[in-house]
Amino acid sequence: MKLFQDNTSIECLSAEIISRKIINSSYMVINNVGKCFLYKCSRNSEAVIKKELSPKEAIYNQNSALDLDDILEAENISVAMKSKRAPKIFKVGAHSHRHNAQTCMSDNYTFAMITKQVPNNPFAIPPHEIIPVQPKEIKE
Amino acid sequence: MNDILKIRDEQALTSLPMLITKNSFPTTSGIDTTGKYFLATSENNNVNFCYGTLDGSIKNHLSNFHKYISKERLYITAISNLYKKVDYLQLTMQLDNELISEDEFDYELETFENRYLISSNDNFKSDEFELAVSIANNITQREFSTDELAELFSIPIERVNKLLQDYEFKCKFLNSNI
Repeated sequence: MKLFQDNTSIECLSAEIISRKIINSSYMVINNVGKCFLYKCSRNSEAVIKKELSPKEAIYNQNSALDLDDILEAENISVAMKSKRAPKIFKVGAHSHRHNAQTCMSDNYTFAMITKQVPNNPFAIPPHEIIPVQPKEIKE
Repeated sequence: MNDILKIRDEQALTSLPMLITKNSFPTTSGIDTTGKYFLATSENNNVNFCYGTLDGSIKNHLSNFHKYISKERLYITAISNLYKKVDYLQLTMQLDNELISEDEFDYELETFENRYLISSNDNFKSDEFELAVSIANNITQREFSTDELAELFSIPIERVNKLLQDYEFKCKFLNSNI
């Protein structure tokens, strides 16, 4: 399933992130998930689920897509990964037309959410709603 | 003489308003159960404390005072979060450049977690969000996204959109009534 509206999200155990600009952001506590490493992808960003959650239940947002190969396509995507360290970022040549891009692969719980959808898409209105999963005790 | 001073100091410390001793912020205000207001500011170990009945002119001053206190808290949160972010990015940069090992990185992060970890404030209120938006609007060279606001002011990420919708609705309502 392809998702392109504001606030749509995916949750998985491994995701492939492709964007023209991936920037490390911060180390932050996220409810239900715990300590996460955050990074921001801007300009033609994509996030694809490569490994589903087990059990396949949303941990953070009830409206998250959870199936294998579900894909987020947007201008900006914000990614939270349950990890202390930043993943290795590699360059990809000619990803969107002739633009170079950057890619990384997460190997732990990953939550990715569209913060800015592709502009001028009449089908991408209104934005999705985030329904937080009831907070649970975080097991480290 | 010294003993008298010591006793006086101790009395001064114990007679501080509860909010000041507990709260790390240098100013506080409030209304007690009898409807009387109190204002307290501290500077260079001195405390100025006012207590009295509330009239119309004081009410405005008090609401402004409340607003400035809340803004001060937000500024302090924003500055400390920015420093946490910078420190964390410096640490990851050191790791990337192989100046420190992965074990050293983990040790640093576990032992000095407060220096790097941005916490999220579950009690963040909608009136605080209005002040956060006004602060963000004053930084004209940057357009903040919702996740940036969450990082800066320790707002839980899932609540930012709801707070923003409520704020927009309130603004529309106020504009329609002008």
